[in-house]
Amino acid sequence: MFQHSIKKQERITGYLLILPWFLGFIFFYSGPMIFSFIVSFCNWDYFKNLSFIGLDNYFKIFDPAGHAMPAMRRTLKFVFLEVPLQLFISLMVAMLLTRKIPFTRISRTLIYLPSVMSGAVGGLIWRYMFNTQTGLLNYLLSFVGVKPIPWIENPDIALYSIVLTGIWAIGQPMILFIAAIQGVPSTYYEVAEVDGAGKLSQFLNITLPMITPAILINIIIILIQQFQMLAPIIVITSGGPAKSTYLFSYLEYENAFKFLKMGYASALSWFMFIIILTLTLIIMKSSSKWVFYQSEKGKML
Amino acid sequence: MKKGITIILLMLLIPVFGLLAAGNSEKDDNAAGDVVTVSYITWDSGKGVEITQSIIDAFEEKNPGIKIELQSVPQGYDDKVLTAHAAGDTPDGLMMWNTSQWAEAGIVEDLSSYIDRDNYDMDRYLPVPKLWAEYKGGIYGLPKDFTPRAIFYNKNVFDEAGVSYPEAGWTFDDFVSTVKAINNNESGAAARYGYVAIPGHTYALQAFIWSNGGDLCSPDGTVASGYINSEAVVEVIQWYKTLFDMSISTGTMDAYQNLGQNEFQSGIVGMMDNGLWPLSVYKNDSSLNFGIAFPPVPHSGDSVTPVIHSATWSMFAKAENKDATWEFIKYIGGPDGARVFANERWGLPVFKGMAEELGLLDDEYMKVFVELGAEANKAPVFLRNPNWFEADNEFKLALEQIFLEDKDVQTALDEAAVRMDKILKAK
Repeated sequence: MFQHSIKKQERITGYLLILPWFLGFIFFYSGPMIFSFIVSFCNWDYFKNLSFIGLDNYFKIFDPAGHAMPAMRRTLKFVFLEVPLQLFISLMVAMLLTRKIPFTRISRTLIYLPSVMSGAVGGLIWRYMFNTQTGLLNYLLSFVGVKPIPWIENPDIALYSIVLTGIWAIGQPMILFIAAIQGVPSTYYEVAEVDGAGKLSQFLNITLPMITPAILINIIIILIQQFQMLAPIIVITSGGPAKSTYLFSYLEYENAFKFLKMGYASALSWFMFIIILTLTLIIMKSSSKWVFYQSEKGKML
Repeated sequence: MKKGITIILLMLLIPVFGLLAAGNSEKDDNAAGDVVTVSYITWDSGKGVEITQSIIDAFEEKNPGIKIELQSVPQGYDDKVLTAHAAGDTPDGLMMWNTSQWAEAGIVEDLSSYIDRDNYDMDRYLPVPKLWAEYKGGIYGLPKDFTPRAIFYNKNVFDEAGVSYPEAGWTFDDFVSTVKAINNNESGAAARYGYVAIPGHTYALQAFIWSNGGDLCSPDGTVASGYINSEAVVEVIQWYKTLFDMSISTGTMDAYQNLGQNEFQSGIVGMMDNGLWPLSVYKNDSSLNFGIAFPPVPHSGDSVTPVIHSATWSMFAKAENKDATWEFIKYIGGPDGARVFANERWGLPVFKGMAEELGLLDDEYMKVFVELGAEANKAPVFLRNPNWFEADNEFKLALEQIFLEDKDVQTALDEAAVRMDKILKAK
């Protein structure tokens, strides 16, 4: 009797403790998600007219004459460039900042700072830097004799310029990498050095495998973030020039708030959700092949 | 255990009480006393708000029972309007530019009954700004100030190149020769460009297309084929492409209307197409020696059909204090309000004869804008169909393909026409 009552009390306390989060989840997450799912099967101009149209919105996504498929292609191209770029740079910077050199603490803070800035503010700064005639980038390049590059005016290179702006946001993955790198027991390095392994070999055979969990987390986080990236595009190029930076997130934004086509926009966002979910699941599935968790020390050696 | 639960429950309830209290205090203000508070939103900031506030002060003196609370929303104005309406909690009044979309969506109140009740004379307004307020038989606001687009030219740059200033009646070919004469193919601070061109500025191009006898779509806004890809339009786009290839272009999209303002002010550009907004900034810049000219016409003898920018003083459909808001709209949208804005050179007055009455024709810059304003006889295309923005995106894409990727003009416009038809016809 006594034991039952304690268990029950603990259970009730447990539910009460998670109640705030749970209510928040219902009202701010799953409620709107269900609503958006229903709306995706309708035509809705956000105010008056709501009419059920079945799967038409989803068919429209695959319309060859439409903008959704090109936008998704561009987004995939963008993400597959951006994720490796951010991973690589943040890892290199993290490696650098875990050495015993001066100013690592303050460097970490400075490098992390831009990712705190809102995407719109950062985007604005990039737009002025990209300006062909008066921007900072072309100004610096002029010192080495390079002619002005039309960063965001040439449809062929505009997308790559936007990819470039991603180096702004490496602060977050870098922090995770630093923590992971510092978590590698130094005994491994000592042993390796005794065996005559060079720095590069140490990096490839000790550091990299040991931080694969951090790599996995960063891949997934960066992947999801970059699929949804929107504010910089609105501010820097508005999807132009000639739609070269018109990503899927921008298509959703325009349809929802400029053309007042909430139904279609909802369908678009569910489509994106499925794509991101699929990619994430694939990566998680593959992780068992290449991610090493320290608790399985036996397998490694 | 019990203490812990109590603390958690308290933590949950305190913010709830806080929200309730905040909500209640708003309602109390209006209940006490006889003063009605009308909330009005504007997209202006700085000088615009100053001018509007001065009109509000004058109105409040004449109407002691009404207080106007002006809210400035310089960023995300459209979003604020849409979300406030969707949430059901809107201010009382707003400035409105997007008549077709907002009237169609039921965001703004049809003021026809107020206008009839008070015998408010709508015929005092110039015809084209008046069209801004009208949609499907209703009247959704009182016209605000307006501005046509004209050509700004930098006298110093012209003198340097030895080119004579533009005269009214000059043609597309004259324009091209002028740009060619000013371009000097140098770079950096010594560079001189005849014109600052914009690759996808569909709004400004309307004027040139109309002057050439063409249009962007049918008068009822449902068909693009036969209009957007007609010979008249192709001719205009080909002319602009010639200009674009020779000109400095402003790829950065700032406030949509003020493209080119910075480039022109830097002194390396000879001409710019703009409304009168830069005037207030330029007049205080003593290094800038400029003039205003009529836009060029396609062929000698053609008449110019300018495109104007305007807006209306409107009321939210979900406003709480409609009668008080209408009193304010009547004042600021009436001759008293219009006079103040015009005297500040903020925009042209929308009332017939007021520009002459205020002596604007004696102002060397305002004179051209007033004369152009009198020539306006067409309202911009977006007022015809709420789906126009989506269709316009296709037109803009075609233009960018033509200007930036050298696509053939007729092909690009033909393809755009097909997509635009589908969009314009959709419900």
